Amino acid sequence: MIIDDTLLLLGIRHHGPGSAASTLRALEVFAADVLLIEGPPEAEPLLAHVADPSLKPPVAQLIYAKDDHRDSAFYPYTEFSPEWQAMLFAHQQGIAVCYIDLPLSHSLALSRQQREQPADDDKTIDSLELPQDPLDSLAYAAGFSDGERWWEHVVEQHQHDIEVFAVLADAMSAVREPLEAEQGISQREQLREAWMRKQIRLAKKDGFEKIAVVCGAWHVPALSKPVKIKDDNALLKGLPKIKLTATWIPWSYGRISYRSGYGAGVTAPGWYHHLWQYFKHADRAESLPNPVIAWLTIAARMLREQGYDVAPSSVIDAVRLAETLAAIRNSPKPSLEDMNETIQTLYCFGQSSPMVLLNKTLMIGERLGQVPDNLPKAPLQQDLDKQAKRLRIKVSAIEATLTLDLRKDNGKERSALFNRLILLGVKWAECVSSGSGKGTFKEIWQLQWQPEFELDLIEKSAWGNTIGTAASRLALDSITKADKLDQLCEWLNKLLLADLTDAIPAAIKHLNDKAALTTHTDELMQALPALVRVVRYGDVRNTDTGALQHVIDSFVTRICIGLVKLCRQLDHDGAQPVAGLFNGVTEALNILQIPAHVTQWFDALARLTDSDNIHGLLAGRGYRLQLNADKINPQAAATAFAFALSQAEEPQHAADWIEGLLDGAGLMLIHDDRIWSVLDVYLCQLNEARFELLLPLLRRTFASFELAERQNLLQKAAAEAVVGASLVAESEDGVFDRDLAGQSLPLVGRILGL
Amino acid sequence: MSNALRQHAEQQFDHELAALKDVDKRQRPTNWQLSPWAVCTYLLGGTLDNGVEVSAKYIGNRRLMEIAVATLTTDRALLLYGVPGTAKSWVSEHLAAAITGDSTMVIQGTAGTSDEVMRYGWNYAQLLAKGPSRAALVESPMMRAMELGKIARIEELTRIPSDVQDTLITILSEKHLPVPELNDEVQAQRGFNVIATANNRDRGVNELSSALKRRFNTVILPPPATMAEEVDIVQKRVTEMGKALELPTDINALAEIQRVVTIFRELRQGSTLDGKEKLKMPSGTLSAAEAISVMNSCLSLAVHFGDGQPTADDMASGLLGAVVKDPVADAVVWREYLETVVKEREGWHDIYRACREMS
Repeated sequence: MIIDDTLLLLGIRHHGPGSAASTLRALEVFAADVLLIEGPPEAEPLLAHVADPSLKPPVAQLIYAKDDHRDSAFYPYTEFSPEWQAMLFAHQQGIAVCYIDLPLSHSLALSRQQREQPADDDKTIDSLELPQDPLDSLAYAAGFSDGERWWEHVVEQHQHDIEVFAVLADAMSAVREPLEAEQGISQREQLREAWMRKQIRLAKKDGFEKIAVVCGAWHVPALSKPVKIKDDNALLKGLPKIKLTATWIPWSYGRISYRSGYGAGVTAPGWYHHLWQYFKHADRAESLPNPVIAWLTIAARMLREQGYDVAPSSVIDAVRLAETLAAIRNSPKPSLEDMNETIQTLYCFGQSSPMVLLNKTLMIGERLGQVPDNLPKAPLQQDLDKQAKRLRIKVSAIEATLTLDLRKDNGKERSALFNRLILLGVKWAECVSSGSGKGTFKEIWQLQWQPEFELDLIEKSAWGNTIGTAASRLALDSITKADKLDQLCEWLNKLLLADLTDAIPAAIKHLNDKAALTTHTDELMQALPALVRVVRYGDVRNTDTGALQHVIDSFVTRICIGLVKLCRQLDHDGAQPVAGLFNGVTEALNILQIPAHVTQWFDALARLTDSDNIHGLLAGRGYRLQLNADKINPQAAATAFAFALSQAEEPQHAADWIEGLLDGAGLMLIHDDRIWSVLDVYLCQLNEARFELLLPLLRRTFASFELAERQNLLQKAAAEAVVGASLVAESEDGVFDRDLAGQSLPLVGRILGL
Repeated sequence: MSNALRQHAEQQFDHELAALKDVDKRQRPTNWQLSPWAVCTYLLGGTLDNGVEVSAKYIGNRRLMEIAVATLTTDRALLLYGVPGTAKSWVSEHLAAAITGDSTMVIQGTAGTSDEVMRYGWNYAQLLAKGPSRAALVESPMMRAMELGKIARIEELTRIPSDVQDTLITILSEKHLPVPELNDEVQAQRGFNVIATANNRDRGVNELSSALKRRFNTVILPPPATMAEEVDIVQKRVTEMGKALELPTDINALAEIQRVVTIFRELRQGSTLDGKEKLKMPSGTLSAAEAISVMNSCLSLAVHFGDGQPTADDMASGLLGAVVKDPVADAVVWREYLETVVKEREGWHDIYRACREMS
């Protein structure tokens, strides 16, 4: 919209190929001598890079406060953003460019203030937080389902002359006025628009005669309406301020809809990118394939790559259907929606699920931008670039899988880099499988770069200047804050995985100190398996784990000393987790295979099983572990078992004992006849009352056996004549009634869970 | 008015079709009675420039109908797909009526549908008397539609055995039907196309081969999206059918329709409409079509055996029949629904009591 022949207001949508093309054409016609863009003045130094061929959109201007990274904003640009094209145009023509939005140093300071002292619920409107697209109401009036579709139909699919901006400005005022009258404009919005008006006045004062302004269509009515200078100045007085830094970062189409900086996002950047190619090469448009045909063919090829059968004849039919649909709907060209419906009907046989796939790869697209290497970057970003280059890993928005061989230096270093980044909270790579196959040297990683990782890296810059130092400092900080031993071991493991050997001694010392002070033997027992894992991984990665060996020694000693004390006076609920810890420690020591430790541990267990006052569950488990390791004479175990099951003991104690001994170990009962017969004799001699008391407790133990084990046990029991014989002896007339006894078998089967 | 129990679409709505023909100035494909735009208007309803009100035949997504009509202008056939009772056959009949003015060329797909029904059969008396000749040939609806350049409809395509389905491939791709016995063929005239319907709920159907699938554009008709839409559909159809069945049409049954539709939607989606309670789902489809038949039987009970105003008692038997398809599992579902939802709901006590008495 041209005002007084000196001011051209171009109301655009922030990402749209039609807007971009129309903007370019309008700029050419108007012959501006200065270009004002709705953007933060802090980003003006970045304008120098716009013409740099190594700055490839999609990119974003990142503006952040060094002291608090919550105060940051992104301004994304794509190739088809009108602002981007306008900036390129200005550069080619040698026109000055200024950003005229309210400086972020003010607006971020305001939001910081608000964060510190939240204001009451604000009902006013703000273009960044509109509940719905302001274009929606225009779209409904025109018979479209939402604003984006209407805008695409009216503006984006075509290149317009300069007049279209006047029409759009009128339409926007019609939408905005009632909204404004109803709710009022938010304070930030008022400030922004006042600032923009002020900048336009300044440009006039500076002697420019042809001023072109590129801003969101929403703001055009506010910028064109006459406002007194002193009102604006009063509004802009005494704004708070913070210090900010600006840089370019790569962006991705997946993030274009990200609501930051601008309120605007588009749902199908891939489609707009496709359309832009036609606007860009308008001069040789005849030589390009029809955009509809090209788009439908690309979609067919993508679906084929994903294993859907899409015949070439379907593509031909699809083009025809899309064009017919457009004709029925009175539009000259098929819109993206017409084509989506065509694709669903023809390629996907009406199903909507393949469309989800297309949405990601085609409608949005996985394009990732690039920024020049010489940009001022945070040291961490630089270090990452350097390392990625050295290790030959491509930073890409497309998901990729990487298989690493930890025996090779390159594999080891890559794995370490990924783990360091994970410590820093940058989840670029995710380990989907490790130690699969025959050895522990293979790791499979899933890689996908997200633009916000750049911000994460900048945010972590405070921790150090290289990935390694930052990661180890961050980890050590967490380690000093951790107060549980197993958490500490987890951190230690992470340090080892990340190959941060410098930090390990400090971490181990901290661990040792903590272990010495702890009075909880169970915590030590819980942490031991994690420590052993660390040592084992160290083997694969050739890390020096000598210091850790020392820690494990002290752990084992402390555990063995505290064991009996820990196990005294426990009830069933308390004993159960401890029994699990018994297993864990035994397993860990078996992996480590240090004879001294093993002897020490089993001596402790023997002491435990000999003491009184130990919960049956733990005594039983102690015997089982000793039996399994051949540390005890089986006969002695059977005797102890029989002793525990003596009539004088409470059935509860017996049942605990049985649980401890047999829980989850049905095989033992099957193969060890001594244990079997002790249990058998014990059960047979129980009187009815005791048997009933014991039965549910026994069932709990038996339920932990595998089905096959239980079946084996049943067969074993059936084979034993003892049961039958004792029944015969007890029946009154001395005759065993097989049929009568048989009737009880189904119930017995149910009790045994068979 | 004819005495037929049910009139064909083109008979029932002939005045609308005539009015559309009057105002329709847009380009028509060869042998089409109306332009694609007018066909869409006929289906979806609207007011014409000459003031004639066209009733909506399909209540739902406009874009789906546009795709269906657009398909018929290309040389692909149209397959309407969906769960039973989503107006597939209804749409197919009205499409054929609007495009060609003749919705009668129908092949009903069954497990016993044979080659002859798809292509042609023989009049054996003629065949014996005069030998093979066109006079002895019994044309199928498909063959007639090809000769006349009209729309042939196939109902329940997936019930037809696969070998018979395959005869469609030549017809759809080469648009001709050879008659080797006479060394002759029938070439399809412009305007010929096929609308098939199939449902994706039944088991034991004959899935289409991929060769055949490729010759159809598939449009999936969904169940009504919103409560209001569904109530609208049921009310409209109940009134229309009430006319045909000579029931008084001035009865105010809206409240009852809303309750039936609420029950159907809740059971179909497995939760109450307010989303607060999870429900078991019965095995039936509980489509809008079934809601219509429940309301019809309710109205006829009310008119013939009651005071003319539908009550909960009139509704209960129909509801029970529609919901409980499996006498064991569905009965439990229904009972639970009655006890947990209907019983608690304000103003629904009459339904609860009536249904309790029924079951």
